[in-house]
Amino acid sequence: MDMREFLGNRGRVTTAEIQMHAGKYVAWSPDGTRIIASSEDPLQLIAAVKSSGFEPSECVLSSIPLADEAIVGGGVDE
Amino acid sequence: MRFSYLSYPVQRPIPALGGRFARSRPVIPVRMSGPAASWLMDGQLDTGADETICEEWVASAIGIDLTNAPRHDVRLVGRTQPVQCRYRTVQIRVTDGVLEALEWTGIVGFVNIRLRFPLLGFAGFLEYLDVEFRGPKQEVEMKPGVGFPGQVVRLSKTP
Repeated sequence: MDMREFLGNRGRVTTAEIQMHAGKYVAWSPDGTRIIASSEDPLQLIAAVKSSGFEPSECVLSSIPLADEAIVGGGVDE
Repeated sequence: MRFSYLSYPVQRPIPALGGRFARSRPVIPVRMSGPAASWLMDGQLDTGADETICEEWVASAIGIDLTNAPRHDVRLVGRTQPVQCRYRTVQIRVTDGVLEALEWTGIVGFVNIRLRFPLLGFAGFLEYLDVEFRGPKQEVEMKPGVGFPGQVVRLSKTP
């Protein structure tokens, strides 16, 4: 995986694509051009990454905050 | 190494940012490795966090057994009650892919609640690094601090 490429490409992904996954865990493709899977369950996300055809250790797991959420600390009171 | 803040769109203007429609956060990809696997995951640099904290599923994903792990209650902003945290050492690797990678072993806490991002706090992470937050440029510069206990790996691919 080329982290430089990943970081450059991810910064160019459209806000519309990001917003589609608001509130979910997501997995980014190794080149950072797209989100390859999303789920509200991290274990389901991992399973989806493993079956995606991408090398799992080269995909970046992340989370997309809710659209109007301000994060002022680590906890999410659910 | 340098990382740009990530920009997250919002639907309504943010009063605290003068009506802007995006929040910028110092979120960076970090590789966490355990006995069974290695995963890259985004974490938020957080100078207000005393410790580095992940969700428990991360431990499971990299093969770390939290049974009998040391426990301690932590308080997370946004939670009304303390949360029990279990601690293990984790191999951590950070790079922007340009010149070098930093690798070290850090103590990471694992909690059984949802975090929006893993917290890259003082213990286990920021304690080892010199980090400059450049708000106007929305970027963060990071380098190993004095006495950095890990390895600085020069990358073969240079710009």
